[in-house]
Amino acid sequence: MGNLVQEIKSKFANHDDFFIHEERFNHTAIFLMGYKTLINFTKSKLYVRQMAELSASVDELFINLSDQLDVKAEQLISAIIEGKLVVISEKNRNAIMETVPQTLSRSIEEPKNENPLQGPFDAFGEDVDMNIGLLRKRLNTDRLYHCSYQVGELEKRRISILYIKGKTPSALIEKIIRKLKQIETDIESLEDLNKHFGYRKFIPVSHLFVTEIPIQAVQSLKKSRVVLFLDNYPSALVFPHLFWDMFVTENDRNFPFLLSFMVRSLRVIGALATLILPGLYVALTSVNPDLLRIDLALFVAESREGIPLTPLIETLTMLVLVDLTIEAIVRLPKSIGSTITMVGGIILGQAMVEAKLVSQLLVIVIAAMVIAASTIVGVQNSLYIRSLKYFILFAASIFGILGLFTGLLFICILLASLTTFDIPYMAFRFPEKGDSQ
Amino acid sequence: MKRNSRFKLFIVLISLTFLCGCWNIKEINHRTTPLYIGVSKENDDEYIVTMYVPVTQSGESESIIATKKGDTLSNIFRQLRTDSDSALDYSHVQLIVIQEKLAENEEEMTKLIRLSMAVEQLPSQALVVITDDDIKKMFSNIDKLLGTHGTYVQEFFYKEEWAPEVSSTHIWELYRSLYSYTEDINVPIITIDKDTGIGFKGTAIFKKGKLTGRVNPKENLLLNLFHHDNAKGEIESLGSSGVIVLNSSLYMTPSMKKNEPLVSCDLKIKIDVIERNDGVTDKQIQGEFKELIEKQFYKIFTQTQENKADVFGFGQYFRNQLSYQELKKWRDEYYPKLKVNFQVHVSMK
Repeated sequence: MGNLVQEIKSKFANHDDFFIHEERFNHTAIFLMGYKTLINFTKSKLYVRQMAELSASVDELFINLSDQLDVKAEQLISAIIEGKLVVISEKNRNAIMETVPQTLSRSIEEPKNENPLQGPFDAFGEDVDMNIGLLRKRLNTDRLYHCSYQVGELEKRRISILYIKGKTPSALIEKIIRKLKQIETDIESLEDLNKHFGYRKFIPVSHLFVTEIPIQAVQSLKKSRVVLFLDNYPSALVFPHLFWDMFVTENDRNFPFLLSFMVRSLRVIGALATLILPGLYVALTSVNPDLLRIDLALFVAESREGIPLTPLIETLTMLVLVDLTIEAIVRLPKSIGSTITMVGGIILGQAMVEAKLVSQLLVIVIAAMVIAASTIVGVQNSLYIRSLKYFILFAASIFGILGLFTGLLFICILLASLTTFDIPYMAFRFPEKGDSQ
Repeated sequence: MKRNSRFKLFIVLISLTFLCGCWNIKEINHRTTPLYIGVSKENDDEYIVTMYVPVTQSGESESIIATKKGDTLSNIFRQLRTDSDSALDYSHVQLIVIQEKLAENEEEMTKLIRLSMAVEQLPSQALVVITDDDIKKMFSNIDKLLGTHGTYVQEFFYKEEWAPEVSSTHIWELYRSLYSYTEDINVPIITIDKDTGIGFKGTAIFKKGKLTGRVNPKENLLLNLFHHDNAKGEIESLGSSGVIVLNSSLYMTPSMKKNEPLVSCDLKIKIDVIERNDGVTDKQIQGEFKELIEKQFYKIFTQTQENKADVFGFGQYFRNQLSYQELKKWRDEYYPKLKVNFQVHVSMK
């Protein structure tokens, strides 16, 4: 057994899933080594044997097996960690081999977080190469450029950048690549990556729009945006994230124009209703009841008769309870989730009204708001719109209708002030044209 | 240091959460909102204010009719606030009923109009009416017949083509007429009606707060025409037939010759005959109808000219032809000299 084999063996002494297998070929011993958990050992062994039958000598076998021959020991070790098969002969010849890997990722499945209506049903998975394959399959052009980077300190994570040459401004790509190269810490979550594109601590809007659906990513590429893939993360990250992503999905285009216009308008109404409704209730019941028509005012007054909580506390209670319910449903297994919804619905809707803790009108308002919030595209977008409504609620409870609209105005100002690499968040599409090439 | 101030700001904002809602804000169910207010005067010195307040109590609608007496109106309003069971909020007042005796007094009326504009909470689009009947009885009659029906007044005064002769006057219009050089205003007169709550009995013409004349509902329709309303739906019975107005439009061309204002009015009316006696031709009906309307118009016009109250608003059409100083003299110098060439053009369906 050669020195090299000994050295590697001692290095991996504490790794139970590391194997060294000895084969004899032309009276020479060759050692196959790698991780059992990453390499399909049986198939790899079979492949090496078949190659051995075709080769006349050990040297020829090595040449047949791989291009990477006689490399240094460190390189061999890192190749083993990456899940490659290393072959070493008695005479200290070595080779790094790409072999049959263990299947560790799931196959292409239906999207879990989005629901394309009458659209293609495949979704991105954890494997970056598979994801890029899904994109390439839909976008048959040589102008789809792809570059990969390994970033991180403890472990290297692969980030792939895809863009269409000639559409995406090259200045933007250069900026992204420069930022990625500067990353020295580990990227564990989206937020870690997000931070590197510009720090937004108190602003709930991300720089990256997350999508699971390949068409969405393809259309983003065509609209000269950049798509990033993080390995082992089952979504494409569209960069930059724009305001309209909240209301527009690519799948809408499968409908006739009028229908897609209607669907998109409904989403805009949904976002506005989520922001305004709770605040409007508080403003109209406590600060500006004079704005209601008299019969409506009498109806509202009657529904609030005998309720001990002030409108603000009442609304806050319901909002927090509803948000808790939504969070609980996400946490729970699917089989229990529906039960919680039912119990939550009954408790919030029926029991609280009967106990005269909240008014009937408020239950209607809250129900309408929850439904409206669900129309927004993207889980993150929906969450951030839901978080902004609290701000409007407080503004409305102090200054009434005036506060409500000032709150809306402030939110508009906040969103309009956001930029990603000088691209405004509120931009409808890319203002810049890419280099024509 | 910077971190510390941020923390302080956070604390302040948090306390704001507890502040809002129990600040100087009254919730909707803790307000008393009168719908109608009646003002009358008794024995020369004593004002009486009557308020109709709807109260909601567990599904059943009830109402309170409160009355207060006092020597000045502001005293009464203050007293009402003091004695009210919850915060008195005038922002939903829809109707202000003024006793006719009070309305006939120019000084009192002017004071009342100014006061109702000065009370900030009182909506300036509340309607003003005049009545000869007892106001308290009127309110309890409305309550008995209709219960707390929030939109009753709105529905009564805005019937449009279902009753084009009904007109309405807002407080702000009345207030504006106090200062206008060229336009006077008419205020509806209502009475108690045992079956429908209130009845419309024409309008009273006010010249700067002074009651100068009355017109009946039929004549009031003509006034409405001059305020850009349509006579559509009006049913007119002539001696030999009955007609319904399908459409109407009014065209005015003002001109000024040697300080003598002249307005030619063309009223185009489209009618349909709904009943007729035997042997009456279309032409006869047209002629009769034309004559009736023209007679009505000249009757009111001469009456208002005598009183120097420009209730048709003819002066508005001369605002661009007279100087500011001349406009001030419109009522006294120009209006009595005004010639109106009123032509009715009747067409049949």
